[in-house]
Amino acid sequence: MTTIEARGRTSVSAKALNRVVAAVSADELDVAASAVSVDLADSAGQLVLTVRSPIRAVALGRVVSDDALVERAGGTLLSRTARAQDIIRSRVNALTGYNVERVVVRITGVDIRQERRVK
Amino acid sequence: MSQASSESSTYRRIRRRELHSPRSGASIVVASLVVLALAYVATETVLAIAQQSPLLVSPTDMGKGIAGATSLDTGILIAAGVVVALIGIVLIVIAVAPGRRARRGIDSERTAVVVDNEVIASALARHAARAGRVSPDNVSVSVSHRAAVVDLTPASGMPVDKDAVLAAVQAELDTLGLAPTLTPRVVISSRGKVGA
Amino acid sequence: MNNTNRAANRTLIFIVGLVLLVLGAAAALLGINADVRNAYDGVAPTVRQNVADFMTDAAISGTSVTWWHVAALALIVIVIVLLVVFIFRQGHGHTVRFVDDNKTEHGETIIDSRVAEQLMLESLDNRPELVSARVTTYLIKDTPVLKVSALARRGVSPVAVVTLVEERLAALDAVLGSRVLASVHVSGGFRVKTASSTRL
Repeated sequence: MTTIEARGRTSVSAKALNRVVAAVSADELDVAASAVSVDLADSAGQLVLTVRSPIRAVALGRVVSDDALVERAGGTLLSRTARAQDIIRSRVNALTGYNVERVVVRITGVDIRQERRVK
Repeated sequence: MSQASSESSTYRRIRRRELHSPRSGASIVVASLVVLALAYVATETVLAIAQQSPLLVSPTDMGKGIAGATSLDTGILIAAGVVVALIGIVLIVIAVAPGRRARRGIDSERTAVVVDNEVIASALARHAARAGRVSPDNVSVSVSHRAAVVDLTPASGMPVDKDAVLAAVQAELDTLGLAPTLTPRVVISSRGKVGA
Repeated sequence: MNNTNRAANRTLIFIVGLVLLVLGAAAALLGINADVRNAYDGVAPTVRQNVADFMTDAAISGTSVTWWHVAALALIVIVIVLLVVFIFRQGHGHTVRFVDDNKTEHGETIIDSRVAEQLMLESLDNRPELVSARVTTYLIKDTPVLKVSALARRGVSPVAVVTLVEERLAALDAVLGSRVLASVHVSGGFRVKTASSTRL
């Protein structure tokens, strides 16, 4: 049986792309998508994402009494942000088919919540 | 430079800054007055260009006045000159003087700490009151640049052990680790308070 | 207040003071000494006349405006603008990048100072030792420093406040993943106690 490969082109509008990036970022940083601000830009034909967002964090007072809390909560803010940057890039690539060249993640604040239950 | 020493040099810089006045207030006042003076000169110049009558003195008249300054009464010249020169000296002093603030540093490795003298005074007062078995309301502490004077008003009929108070205050000062250090002095008021 | 340029403040005050001193001394000298007065009389009017002639020579055709007037006005406006900017620069705030890390060819991670400020401020909220606290960030030679201004309750030892802040600073280091430099200012108002919080 022969299979005919149909080659098509998926075009994602900028608005939709924006929403995808915001959703992925919000997921990675564990905040509401509405709190995430996304900038899409072209850099010599390459796609560059700038994400501005708060990040979920634990209260310092609880860390004072519990050393291991940071690890349980997912690691340091720096490592979580670096991981998020990487994952945002690969997930947006996979979801939209666009090749994301650079992702700039800028953490603008924190969302201090109770410790998340382990799923 | 190792991280630790670059940190401590940053902290030294911070402590120095925190302990001296930034002179923001004086500089705002001076800058504003200069702006006003310049704005006035600019206004007079514009009026002269537009051939309108001047607000006070036209620029040409200003020039004539300065050139003919000797025609002014010498008394006025001297008085005005001295006043202006004195203001200048005051400003120079303000600019150059360290402007020490009523606060000092506390020894700490992790952070650069600066404490208001007021806070130290109230902590000393609490310890002095306890050691002297006096109500805290009857203790008044004043902290100056190098000395802390503890003033106690005893209850009538209940003398205060001055040495105990001094020892307690010194002990508290030792735990605080202040820089510049404070030398304590205890003064027991000769007049007591009845039923305090 | 912390980001004000202290050197600039003092320099401005010094320069203006010096100018006033020189002018004042000159005027006083003019009043005191007859020789100085005579010398001045000989020189000043001529200088003034030369300047006036010089200025009229440069008149723009038809008007009494000279390029010198225009230049002088432009200069005055520039100086005024600089000074006004100077006045309003006192105590400005701006977002400081707290950590600017992980610059790879595929992106960048930036953590704003606001993150550290919010975390620290939250941890000092509702503490019995403090009436209130304020957290800001400023730059000392390109190094961001967290400044914690704490209003201690009457009778609280300043050491207790410092320990409190340093404990939370250690926690901040752990949460952030990077060592944070901080300065602490402990103050105590005349307030003896604040209004107690309502219990529900």
